[in-house]
Amino acid sequence: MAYRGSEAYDFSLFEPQIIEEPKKQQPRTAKPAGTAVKPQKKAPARKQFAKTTTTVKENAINFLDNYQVEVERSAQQASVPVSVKKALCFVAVCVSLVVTLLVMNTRCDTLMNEISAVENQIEIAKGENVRLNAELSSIISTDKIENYAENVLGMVKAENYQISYIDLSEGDEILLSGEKTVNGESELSGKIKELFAYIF
Amino acid sequence: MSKVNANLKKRCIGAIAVILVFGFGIDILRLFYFQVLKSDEYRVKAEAQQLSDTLITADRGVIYDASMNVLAESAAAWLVYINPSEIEDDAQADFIAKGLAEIFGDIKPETIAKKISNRKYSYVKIKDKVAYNKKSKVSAFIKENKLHEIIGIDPDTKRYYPFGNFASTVIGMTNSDNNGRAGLELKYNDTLTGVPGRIITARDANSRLMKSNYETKYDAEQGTSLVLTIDKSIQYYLEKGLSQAVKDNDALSAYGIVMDVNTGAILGMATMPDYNLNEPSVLTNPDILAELEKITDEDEYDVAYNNAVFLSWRNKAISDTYEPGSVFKLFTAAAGIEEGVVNLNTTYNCVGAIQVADNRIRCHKHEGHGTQDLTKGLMNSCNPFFITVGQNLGTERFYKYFEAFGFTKKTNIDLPAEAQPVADVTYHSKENMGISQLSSSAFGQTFQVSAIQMITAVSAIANGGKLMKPHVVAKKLDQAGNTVYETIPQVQRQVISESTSEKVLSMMEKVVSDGTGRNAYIPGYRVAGKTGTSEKLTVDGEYIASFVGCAPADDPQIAVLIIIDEPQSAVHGGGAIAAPVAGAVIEQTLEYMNVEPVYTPEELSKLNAVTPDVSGLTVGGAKTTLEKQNFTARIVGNGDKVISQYPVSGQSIPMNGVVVLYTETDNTETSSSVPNLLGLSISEANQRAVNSGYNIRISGASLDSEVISYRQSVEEGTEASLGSTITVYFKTTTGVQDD
Repeated sequence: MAYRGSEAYDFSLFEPQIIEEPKKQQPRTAKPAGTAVKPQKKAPARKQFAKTTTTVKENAINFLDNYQVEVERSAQQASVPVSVKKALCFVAVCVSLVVTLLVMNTRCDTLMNEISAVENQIEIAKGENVRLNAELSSIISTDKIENYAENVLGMVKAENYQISYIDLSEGDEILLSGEKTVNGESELSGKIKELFAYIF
Repeated sequence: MSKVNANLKKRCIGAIAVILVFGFGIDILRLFYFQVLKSDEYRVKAEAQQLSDTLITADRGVIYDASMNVLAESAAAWLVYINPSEIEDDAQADFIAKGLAEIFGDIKPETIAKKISNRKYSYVKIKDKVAYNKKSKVSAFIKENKLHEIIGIDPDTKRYYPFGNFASTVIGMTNSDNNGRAGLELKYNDTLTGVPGRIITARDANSRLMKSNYETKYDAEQGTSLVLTIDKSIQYYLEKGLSQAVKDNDALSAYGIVMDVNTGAILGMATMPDYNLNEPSVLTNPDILAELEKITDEDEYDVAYNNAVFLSWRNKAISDTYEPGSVFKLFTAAAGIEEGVVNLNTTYNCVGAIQVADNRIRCHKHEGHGTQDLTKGLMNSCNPFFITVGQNLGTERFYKYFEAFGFTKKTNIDLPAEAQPVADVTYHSKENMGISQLSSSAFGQTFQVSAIQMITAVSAIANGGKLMKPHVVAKKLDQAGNTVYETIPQVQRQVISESTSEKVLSMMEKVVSDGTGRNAYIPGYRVAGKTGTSEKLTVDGEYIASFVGCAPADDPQIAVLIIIDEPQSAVHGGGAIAAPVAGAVIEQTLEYMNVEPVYTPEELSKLNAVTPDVSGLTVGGAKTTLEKQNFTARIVGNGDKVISQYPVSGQSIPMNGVVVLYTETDNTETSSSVPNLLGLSISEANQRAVNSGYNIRISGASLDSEVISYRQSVEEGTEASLGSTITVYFKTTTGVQDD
């Protein structure tokens, strides 16, 4: 089938010849059924010419068959077996895993270094916090505040009697003044009382 | 033919086997030698070669006061060292010494140069506990001058004490190895010390440290933190009072304790002079430094300096013993009442002396106190009376109470270096207590106790007779702040009954209201106390003045003990110099604890008055308003109306105080020189202050008619705004002597 459309060969030249194909050169399964050559009777007048033609045809068929076999063989050779494909895939996965692992490892290493640096900075910051708090505490110690208040600002301590003590022994409660919540009945009786008070 | 081949084959196999067995056998034996017999040795060598082991110092636990204020805390710091073997020449050494000295500020270049002069060494410590700011400067110095091979920085930790001198003799400090050296830092060293961490890192073939993925880190665990019973405010009141006492009396030292009588918790404990915890080896006391300057020999100076430093670390309230003097009469009285030897109605006629064996022991009032009951005897601190009570008790019973109040054993407070009482050395043993020893002991002479023993025993009198175990640590916290231990108040024994306790307390209250302890009187509060003065057994002619008090007398919460060692003032009695300090401490502490004062009508009549608002009134109207309320008006300016006043309305000033009225806008602030207000009675001081345009605030025993001012808050000659208030401190020196 593949050769029918080819311009390199004129198949019509070989039409009258009926050639019995050798057994070993039987068309392969790949050969299409329509291409099978039917056997025909030989013509006596054209014996020599026919003989020559037959040889050419045989050569051509041989050539074609050989070519076809070669093509099929090369096609067979070109198609990679499944097991090889699987192996290749496996290798590819492994390689990609290794690469990913290496990248992750490098990244992990970088992050670990960053964490270590940050931890170090936190430690330094903590130390500085303690140091600065200590400095602050020494600046705002009770005696310094008292000295400043008394000697610079002229402040005087409150006397004891100026402090009002509140008794919270019975709970911390407040009494809110405001509108009382009354129900309708008491409101009505109130109105009636007001009315009577107005009349009398 | 086949037989020959077979033999040959066998021989070949045999030869190969022999070669293999022999060859591998040696290897196996060598392996056995290295792996089994010498495994430890080679493991150590391999680890040293292949691993780097860095120790991470653990932070010590934090020390908090009772209100969770940080008193001591550790933080990261650095240690700077030099490798002298890498220094090229003297010029480079000088350059490094100058550079580092400039950064640190407190080390001389010569000191550094001397340290690195020997070029054989590869590690010389220059300074430890370096803070981050200075460490950064050192790093920059190294980088700038490419001194990486010469100057190195190692991690270190530093202990910070935010309040410097605050409670220094109690807290203590650590040494350069981060171990406790004194105080709580020493006592609780194991608790405060954490678990050090490690960083184990693999080394490459060139002994360089490999990356962090070849590193195993074991984090350090911070030590357990302590929460103290000491309260920052109460401690401050105590330290302030003691510091002033040393100054006022030119004393060698002063020390004191404030205790919660019901739990034995120490609320405050101080010794003055103290030291700065951040610089424990630096002496700052000018008197001591002046003494040291007199020493010319360098070695002698160093020894004296070190001794003075060690002495400044001493917690005298724990480690020193003193002669209690008349304060001990409380225990003689308590024992006498408990044993029924005396009661409150028992009388005694003091003629000024008493004969004991061959000695005639005199009372401090040589003419005698006359006939007096037990309360009066305690108020007068009469020696013959209490000698008699002691003699009536007898050695057996006297010693029983002496022992029961805890004077023969340590209190076992959780502080280091508590003085150990020693029989027949610091006190008279029962076996050797004759009539003379019994008599002298009965009024507090010829034996010694520590301050912590004394206040623990007085607390037993105050709390109904229970002898508590004193303690300084209230809680222990883990790293996350969880409480892992809490101190439970521990009653050691019942020494006296509650009724005896009440009787002694009522007598003590009388001592403060009308006796030798009048200088500890506080209007609005009921204070009970006892004064004490004794001659030092170890130094001739020197005294120890003391006062112990508890308040409120009707429901005691706190006990305060003040001891002034070797006062040089003209009056050296406990009632004259220790009682005012104790009174001030008690007053401030009770205010701080929100104990409500209850004033008697007499007390109220002497209290201050509040200024009215007269601004905006005419000058005449303002004067009339002020005079109606017994204030004096002082007018500044020529205006008709009062523009402003000082003190402003609502301020408290003493009765008959002055209010300055400003009538012009351009002279609202007028100042003047503060007058001398010392050595005056209350009315005299007030009058002098008002005449100068100032008000006074009375502090001290204000109800006593015989009080004299002994200190003023603003010194004479200081410029101060007219109308401002000067606190004047009063005390009495009459009838408070008890020695």
